[in-house]
Amino acid sequence: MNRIESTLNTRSADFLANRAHNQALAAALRQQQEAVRHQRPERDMQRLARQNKMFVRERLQQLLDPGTPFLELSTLAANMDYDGEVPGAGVVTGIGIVSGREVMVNASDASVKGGAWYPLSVKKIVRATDIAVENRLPMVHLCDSAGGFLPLQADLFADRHYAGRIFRNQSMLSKMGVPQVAIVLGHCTAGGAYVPALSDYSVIVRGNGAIFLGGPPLVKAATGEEVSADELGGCDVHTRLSGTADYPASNEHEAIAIARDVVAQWQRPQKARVQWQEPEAPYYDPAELYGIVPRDIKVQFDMREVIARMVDGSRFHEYQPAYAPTLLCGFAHLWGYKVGILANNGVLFNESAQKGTHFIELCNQNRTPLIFLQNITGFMVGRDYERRGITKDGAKMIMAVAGSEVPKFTVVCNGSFGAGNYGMSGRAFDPRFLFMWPQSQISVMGAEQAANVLAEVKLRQLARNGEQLSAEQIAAIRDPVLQDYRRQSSALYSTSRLWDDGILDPVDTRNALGIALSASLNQPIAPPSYGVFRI
Amino acid sequence: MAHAFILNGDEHELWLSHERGGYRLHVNALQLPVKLLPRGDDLHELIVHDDSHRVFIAQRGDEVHVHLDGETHSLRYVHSLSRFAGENKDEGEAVARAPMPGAVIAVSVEAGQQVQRGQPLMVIESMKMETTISAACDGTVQALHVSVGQTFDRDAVLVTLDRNGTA
Repeated sequence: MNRIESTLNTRSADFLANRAHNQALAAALRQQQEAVRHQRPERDMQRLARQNKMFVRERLQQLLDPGTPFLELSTLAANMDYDGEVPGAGVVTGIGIVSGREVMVNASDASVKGGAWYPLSVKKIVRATDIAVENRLPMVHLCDSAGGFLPLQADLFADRHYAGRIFRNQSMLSKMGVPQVAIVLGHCTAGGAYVPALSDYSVIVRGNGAIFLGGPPLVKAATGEEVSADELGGCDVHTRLSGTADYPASNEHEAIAIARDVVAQWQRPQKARVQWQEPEAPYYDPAELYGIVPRDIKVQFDMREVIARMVDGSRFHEYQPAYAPTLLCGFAHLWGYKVGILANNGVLFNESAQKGTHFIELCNQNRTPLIFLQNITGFMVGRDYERRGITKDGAKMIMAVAGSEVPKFTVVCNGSFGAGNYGMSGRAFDPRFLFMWPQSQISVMGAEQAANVLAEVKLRQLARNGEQLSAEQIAAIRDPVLQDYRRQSSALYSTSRLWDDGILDPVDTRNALGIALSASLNQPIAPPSYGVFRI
Repeated sequence: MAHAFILNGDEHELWLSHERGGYRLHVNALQLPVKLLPRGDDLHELIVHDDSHRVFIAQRGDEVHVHLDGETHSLRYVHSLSRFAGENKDEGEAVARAPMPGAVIAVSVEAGQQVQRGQPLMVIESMKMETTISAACDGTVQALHVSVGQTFDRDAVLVTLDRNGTA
């Protein structure tokens, strides 16, 4: 496998300007993450201390094996919703190592509105359980939630992927033989009560922990019975009388120690067999990624330079190097794992879609996980391309992506527009993980194109009535659309709504993909099978 | 959650993680590459960074005796489960309840008597079995709720101990 020959000039004005731009974005990302992780109003932290509860970050530190990586997901969920008052959507999720085993962690953050479930909290927990199901990852739930946030219940209760899905996914995990342990550190009320009840193992802290379908106020309202939380669903009630919880613990530390001992009893998974070799650091410095991605999203760049700063030894076996050059396809190793990479070097033409389809089939045939590096403005439009079947060629690629049995991973490196998002394994195509880079944009079309289309439509309507618009009037139509579009196509907006699994500092992409790859191999890889390709 | 060791009465939190070709010892914020190579019998070669030390190590249960540079250190491993187990268990331990319905056939303590954990309090008969009810913790017998020949239901309180009454 040949090393990619980088042609990057790290002293050029362009490189330096891009680097300054992207480093500033990465610094802003880290600062925002830091705030979400650690900054809370003083009174909320005092309340936790008064209740003798650890902050969720301390709980995680106690739970995870020291010195091991934790791939935290969707760190900036809800950052642009609820007036920014629900950091991380009030939940911490991620893949970590507990007692030497890979697990998915779902931890309530009781410092945020008592750990209440907002609609996006539910979406984040459902996503964590989806990942657990897709990748056969055991789960550890740290439960401390006031229950659903009632003013917004219409957006979190009834629909298919709302709160009920958490319990459905927990049941599926158990049915699949994937174990879960819940640690009840606070109240688990109403639906939340099922999180420990549906876990194969559960630990409950005496004093603070409680599980009940209806809390004391609801019981009083319903039947007039006056009962304390501890009498209604405390540690002794559930570990001695009802059998709803398994292990009593006298404090949070002991509860976590018991849960770690439970996880230590679980069988280690048989990983799917894929090609693997001793890992090697990239030959080119990943920090140079900052200088590659242009500060202007409209400027094209060579994805080989990105691949060279992500894969082992910067080595890349390019498939069909001379054919359809706007879609790079090829093999590489990442943290030792053999992967097939598809990366955009321009718009998708008929032959690019065909090349991509063929390469995806190759990777499924030889059991090679797929990585999609997106910088895509879409499939080519126009009379010639339609006549040559650009739509059916795109359909082929989408069919191959959707039917893929090997694990897929998607990184939106820059633009992700239109049907190109679908062909390159967008969120709807169930990549095992999807990450964004900070400056990337995602929408049905680019902001400027959308604003121009809308202005054009308006102009034609007026022209039919013989009216004309001044430049200011056109700007008055364009500018609000442009602003709305820019906001809604930003990576921060995407990650706020959980269209992705989080924004990555580009230099962390290699490690994140390494953890994701390792996690994905808990699930056996089925033989290739697809629908009907429109030839 | 790190492992805990007691050295000269002080508790230390340590963790050993894998790294290529060896281990990494985590001590507070410090990380040290370490290797421990057996050199026959109790002799080992301990390599911290690139410094080599000759150590003798003898282990008995959770006690580890380490002879290093002319001094012997005794370490004791404390499992997290016992380390964090609450001193203050619930009232449940101080109250002996009937595991099933039955009758008392013998009482071996009287009120005010000091008892130790595991000490027999009474013998009951039920379902053709004789079962000894023992103290679950140290304490003083506060009350005997049943006497010989008396019958009782499942979960009935048989004996109450006062755990603060321990001398």
